[in-house]
Amino acid sequence: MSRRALDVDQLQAIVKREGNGACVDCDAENPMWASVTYGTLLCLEDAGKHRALGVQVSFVRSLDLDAWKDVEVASMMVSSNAFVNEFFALHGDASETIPRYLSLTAAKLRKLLARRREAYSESSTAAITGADAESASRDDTASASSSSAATAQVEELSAEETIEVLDLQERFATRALEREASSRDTEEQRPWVPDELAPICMLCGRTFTMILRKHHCRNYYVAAACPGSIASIESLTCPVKTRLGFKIAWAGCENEL
Amino acid sequence: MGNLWSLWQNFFQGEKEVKAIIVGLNNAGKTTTLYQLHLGQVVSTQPTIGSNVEEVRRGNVRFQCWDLGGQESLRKTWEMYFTNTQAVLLVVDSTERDRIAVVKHELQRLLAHEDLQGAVVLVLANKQDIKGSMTAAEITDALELHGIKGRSWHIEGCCALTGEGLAEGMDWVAQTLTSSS
Repeated sequence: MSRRALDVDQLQAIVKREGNGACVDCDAENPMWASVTYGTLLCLEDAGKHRALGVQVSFVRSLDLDAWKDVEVASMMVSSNAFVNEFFALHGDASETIPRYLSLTAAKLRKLLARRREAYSESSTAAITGADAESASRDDTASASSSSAATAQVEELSAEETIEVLDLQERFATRALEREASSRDTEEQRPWVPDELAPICMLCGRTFTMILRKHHCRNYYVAAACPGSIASIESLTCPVKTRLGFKIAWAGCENEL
Repeated sequence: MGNLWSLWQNFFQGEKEVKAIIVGLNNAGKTTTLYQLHLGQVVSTQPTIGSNVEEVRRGNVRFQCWDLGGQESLRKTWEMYFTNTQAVLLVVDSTERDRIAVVKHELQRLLAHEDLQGAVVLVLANKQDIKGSMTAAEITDALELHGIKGRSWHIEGCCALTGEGLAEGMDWVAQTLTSSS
């Protein structure tokens, strides 16, 4: 299937859909990214969060940097930010923004939109006449569908689909925990020893001078001429910046620069 | 004096500098891969517009890694980064079966480019933690890697979120480049 950049008409049609003037997850104006899965527009920041959910949950494209398939454009035309927000408000929680895409409600929404997309693609291939007539008819079908969030026929999920969603949720929960743990670890290593707190070599205790240079890394200061640092230079593990502007390393430190 | 200086540098640095580019389709995990290599942790990323560059060390090799944006229109700008590139890291989203043909197309474009004739290719089959993702073997077939002639290539299954497989992949690059020179 061919892909091409959105033309001006398509872009206008998408941007003008209900609620598409602001990001679906926050209120940032003029969003330039889209979640094709939900047919919504996103700001750059939320596009990043959506991508982290994985392509099965949310497939993100850029309105201006990406080429689009027809079916992806169709996906934008059967939904809108207003529709999706209304759907979540009606069938699930509207409170949290990103976790809601991992909910069962979101899975139902994906199913509903996939069905609409198919119907839309069929109807639009049937009627290819003048560009104006076509876009007018598209607008009709589109606005009709977007206003019917409350009355939309929501299919229940099959057992398999439910398990799939629960699987996803579990994976994201464990991933979040791991991420938290790893960020705690690095937080401890973060501060650099400020220059004024390191007047002497940590190994030999000599005061640093113009001649006795210091090796500086995140947690340690050692004299360039210190026997301890010279001896360990051969088993280099940690890069250390010196005042001379090149890098050597001191084995006593396991922290990265 | 210059001789002495280089001896001094060799003693303290003794490492090879390699320019590597990280390419792939949008949302393949290039930026996550870069920062997993650089920091050993997962950062929350946004779509890359332009590029990120970080230094990554593997053994005796210092990689200057350029992570390039993967959106369609940004892919055309990749060639600006090709000069002097010794390693191409192609990150593939193993879960996206329907876009693997696009990856193949981009790979062929890379391989045909004159500035990349000397570069080794490492294919990172990312997102191996996700159920139902393509295996490294499947991707090898889909990208027709066996058809690559006259250059070293390697494929490694990996997960950029945990870092699994990345070290092995970079070790391969480091080894290949140091042994060839």
